[in-house]
Amino acid sequence: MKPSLSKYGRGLLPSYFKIVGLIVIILGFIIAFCVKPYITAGQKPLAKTITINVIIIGLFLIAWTRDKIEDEMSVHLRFQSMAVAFLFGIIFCLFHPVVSSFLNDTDLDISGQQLVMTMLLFFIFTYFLKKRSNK
Amino acid sequence: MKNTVKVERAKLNITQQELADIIGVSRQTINSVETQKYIPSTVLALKIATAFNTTVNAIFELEDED
Repeated sequence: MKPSLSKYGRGLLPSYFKIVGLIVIILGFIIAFCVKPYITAGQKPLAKTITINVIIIGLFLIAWTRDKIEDEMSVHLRFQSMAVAFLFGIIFCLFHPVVSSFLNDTDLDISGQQLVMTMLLFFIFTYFLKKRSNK
Repeated sequence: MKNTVKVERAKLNITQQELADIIGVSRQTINSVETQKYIPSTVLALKIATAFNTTVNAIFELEDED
Protein backbone atom coordinates (compact mmCIF):
# COMPACT_ATOMS: atom_id res chain seq x y z
CA MET A 1 0.00 0.00 0.00
CA LYS A 2 1.37 3.36 -1.00
CA PRO A 3 1.30 6.00 1.73
CA SER A 4 -1.21 8.71 0.95
CA LEU A 5 0.65 11.38 2.88
CA SER A 6 -0.18 14.25 0.55
CA LYS A 7 -3.91 13.74 1.16
CA TYR A 8 -3.65 14.70 4.83
CA GLY A 9 -0.94 17.32 4.50
CA ARG A 10 -2.82 19.23 1.83
CA GLY A 11 -2.96 22.95 2.54
CA LEU A 12 -0.15 22.78 5.09
CA LEU A 13 3.41 23.97 4.61
CA PRO A 14 6.29 21.50 4.16
CA SER A 15 7.84 20.20 7.39
CA TYR A 16 11.03 22.29 7.09
CA PHE A 17 8.93 25.42 7.70
CA LYS A 18 9.01 24.51 11.41
CA ILE A 19 12.67 25.52 11.41
CA VAL A 20 11.89 28.62 9.30
CA GLY A 21 9.25 29.61 11.89
CA LEU A 22 11.69 29.11 14.73
CA ILE A 23 14.31 31.23 12.93
CA VAL A 24 11.72 33.99 12.34
CA ILE A 25 10.85 34.03 16.08
CA ILE A 26 14.52 34.12 17.13
CA LEU A 27 15.26 36.86 14.55
CA GLY A 28 12.26 38.83 15.88
CA PHE A 29 13.70 38.74 19.39
CA ILE A 30 17.25 39.51 18.23
CA ILE A 31 16.17 42.46 16.06
CA ALA A 32 13.96 43.83 18.87
CA PHE A 33 16.86 43.55 21.31
CA CYS A 34 19.35 45.19 18.90
CA VAL A 35 17.02 48.04 17.87
CA LYS A 36 15.88 48.82 21.43
CA PRO A 37 18.65 51.36 22.29
CA TYR A 38 18.07 53.33 19.07
CA ILE A 39 14.30 53.84 19.18
CA THR A 40 12.65 56.88 20.67
CA ALA A 41 9.73 56.81 23.11
CA GLY A 42 7.35 57.72 20.28
CA GLN A 43 8.51 54.80 18.14
CA LYS A 44 8.14 52.29 20.96
CA PRO A 45 4.51 51.23 20.27
CA LEU A 46 5.31 50.69 16.58
CA ALA A 47 8.45 48.68 17.40
CA LYS A 48 6.45 46.57 19.87
CA THR A 49 3.73 45.92 17.28
CA ILE A 50 6.28 44.92 14.63
CA THR A 51 8.08 42.58 17.05
CA ILE A 52 4.84 40.87 18.13
CA ASN A 53 3.75 40.55 14.49
CA VAL A 54 7.05 38.89 13.58
CA ILE A 55 6.64 36.47 16.49
CA ILE A 56 3.05 35.74 15.40
CA ILE A 57 4.27 35.00 11.85
CA GLY A 58 6.89 32.62 13.28
CA LEU A 59 4.34 30.87 15.49
CA PHE A 60 1.91 30.63 12.59
CA LEU A 61 4.58 29.04 10.38
CA ILE A 62 5.25 26.43 13.08
CA ALA A 63 1.53 25.78 13.61
CA TRP A 64 0.74 25.56 9.90
CA THR A 65 3.50 23.09 9.07
CA ARG A 66 2.79 19.43 8.45
CA ASP A 67 4.60 16.63 10.22
CA LYS A 68 7.12 14.47 8.42
CA ILE A 69 4.45 11.78 8.29
CA GLU A 70 1.08 13.46 8.22
CA ASP A 71 -1.73 10.95 8.63
CA GLU A 72 -5.31 10.86 9.88
CA MET A 73 -4.25 10.85 13.53
CA SER A 74 -2.20 14.03 12.97
CA VAL A 75 -5.32 15.68 11.56
CA HIS A 76 -7.33 14.39 14.54
CA LEU A 77 -4.78 15.76 17.03
CA ARG A 78 -4.64 19.04 15.12
CA PHE A 79 -8.40 19.49 15.47
CA GLN A 80 -8.27 18.59 19.16
CA SER A 81 -5.47 21.10 19.73
CA MET A 82 -7.40 23.77 17.83
CA ALA A 83 -10.41 23.16 20.07
CA VAL A 84 -8.24 23.46 23.19
CA ALA A 85 -6.63 26.67 21.86
CA PHE A 86 -10.06 28.12 21.03
CA LEU A 87 -11.37 27.26 24.49
CA PHE A 88 -8.31 28.77 26.14
CA GLY A 89 -8.74 31.90 23.97
CA ILE A 90 -12.25 32.36 25.34
CA ILE A 91 -11.12 31.76 28.94
CA PHE A 92 -8.23 34.19 28.38
CA CYS A 93 -10.66 36.84 27.07
CA LEU A 94 -13.00 36.41 30.01
CA PHE A 95 -10.43 36.28 32.79
CA HIS A 96 -7.86 38.79 31.52
CA PRO A 97 -9.78 41.86 32.77
CA VAL A 98 -10.31 40.21 36.17
CA VAL A 99 -6.63 39.35 36.56
CA SER A 100 -5.61 42.80 35.26
CA SER A 101 -7.83 44.57 37.80
CA PHE A 102 -6.36 42.47 40.61
CA LEU A 103 -2.89 43.48 39.46
CA ASN A 104 -3.99 47.15 39.32
CA ASP A 105 -3.36 47.21 35.56
CA THR A 106 -5.22 50.11 33.93
CA ASP A 107 -5.44 48.35 30.54
CA LEU A 108 -8.30 45.88 30.95
CA ASP A 109 -8.76 45.15 27.23
CA ILE A 110 -6.76 42.58 25.34
CA SER A 111 -5.54 43.20 21.84
CA GLY A 112 -6.09 40.90 18.89
CA GLN A 113 -2.36 40.28 18.80
CA GLN A 114 -2.32 39.08 22.41
CA LEU A 115 -5.23 36.76 21.76
CA VAL A 116 -3.83 35.33 18.51
CA MET A 117 -0.40 34.82 20.06
CA THR A 118 -1.86 33.07 23.11
CA MET A 119 -4.03 30.82 20.94
CA LEU A 120 -1.14 29.95 18.64
CA LEU A 121 1.11 29.17 21.60
CA PHE A 122 -1.57 27.01 23.15
CA PHE A 123 -2.22 25.22 19.87
CA ILE A 124 1.47 24.41 19.34
CA PHE A 125 1.97 23.38 22.97
CA THR A 126 -1.14 21.14 23.06
CA TYR A 127 -0.32 19.52 19.72
CA PHE A 128 3.25 18.84 20.85
CA LEU A 129 2.07 17.31 24.14
CA LYS A 130 -0.57 15.17 22.42
CA LYS A 131 1.99 13.91 19.91
CA ARG A 132 4.43 13.13 22.74
CA SER A 133 1.80 11.23 24.72
CA ASN A 134 1.27 8.89 21.76
CA LYS A 135 4.92 7.88 21.44
CA MET B 1 -13.41 -0.67 20.54
CA LYS B 2 -11.07 -3.58 21.12
CA ASN B 3 -8.57 -4.69 18.52
CA THR B 4 -6.05 -7.44 17.97
CA VAL B 5 -3.53 -5.44 15.96
CA LYS B 6 -0.74 -6.22 18.41
CA VAL B 7 -1.49 -9.95 18.27
CA GLU B 8 -1.69 -9.97 14.47
CA ARG B 9 1.55 -8.02 14.28
CA ALA B 10 3.23 -10.50 16.61
CA LYS B 11 2.02 -13.37 14.40
CA LEU B 12 3.71 -11.77 11.39
CA ASN B 13 6.71 -10.86 13.55
CA ILE B 14 6.86 -7.27 12.36
CA THR B 15 7.53 -4.10 14.33
CA GLN B 16 5.20 -1.13 14.71
CA GLN B 17 7.46 0.83 12.36
CA GLU B 18 7.33 -1.89 9.71
CA LEU B 19 3.53 -2.04 9.90
CA ALA B 20 3.38 1.76 9.78
CA ASP B 21 5.55 1.75 6.64
CA ILE B 22 3.32 -0.85 4.97
CA ILE B 23 0.14 1.11 5.72
CA GLY B 24 1.62 4.57 5.19
CA VAL B 25 1.06 6.10 8.61
CA SER B 26 3.35 7.09 11.47
CA ARG B 27 4.53 4.64 14.12
CA GLN B 28 2.73 6.75 16.74
CA THR B 29 -0.56 6.08 14.96
CA ILE B 30 -0.02 2.31 15.10
CA ASN B 31 0.92 2.59 18.76
CA SER B 32 -2.21 4.65 19.50
CA VAL B 33 -4.42 2.13 17.71
CA GLU B 34 -2.82 -0.78 19.59
CA THR B 35 -3.22 0.92 22.96
CA GLN B 36 -6.80 1.90 22.03
CA LYS B 37 -6.08 5.61 22.47
CA TYR B 38 -7.19 6.23 18.91
CA ILE B 39 -10.01 4.61 16.97
CA PRO B 40 -8.99 4.43 13.30
CA SER B 41 -11.18 5.54 10.42
CA THR B 42 -12.79 2.96 8.13
CA VAL B 43 -10.06 3.56 5.56
CA LEU B 44 -7.27 2.92 8.06
CA ALA B 45 -9.08 -0.08 9.54
CA LEU B 46 -9.38 -1.56 6.04
CA LYS B 47 -5.71 -0.88 5.35
CA ILE B 48 -4.73 -2.60 8.62
CA ALA B 49 -6.94 -5.59 7.80
CA THR B 50 -5.50 -5.81 4.29
CA ALA B 51 -1.95 -5.69 5.68
CA PHE B 52 -2.80 -8.71 7.86
CA ASN B 53 -4.65 -10.38 4.99
CA THR B 54 -7.86 -10.62 7.00
CA THR B 55 -11.14 -8.76 7.51
CA VAL B 56 -11.85 -5.67 9.63
CA ASN B 57 -14.27 -7.65 11.81
CA ALA B 58 -11.55 -10.15 12.62
CA ILE B 59 -9.35 -7.39 14.04
CA PHE B 60 -11.76 -4.82 15.46
CA GLU B 61 -14.52 -5.66 17.88
CA LEU B 62 -17.17 -3.40 19.37
CA GLU B 63 -17.45 -3.15 23.16
CA ASP B 64 -20.58 -2.56 25.24
CA GLU B 65 -19.95 1.17 25.64
CA ASP B 66 -19.50 1.70 21.86
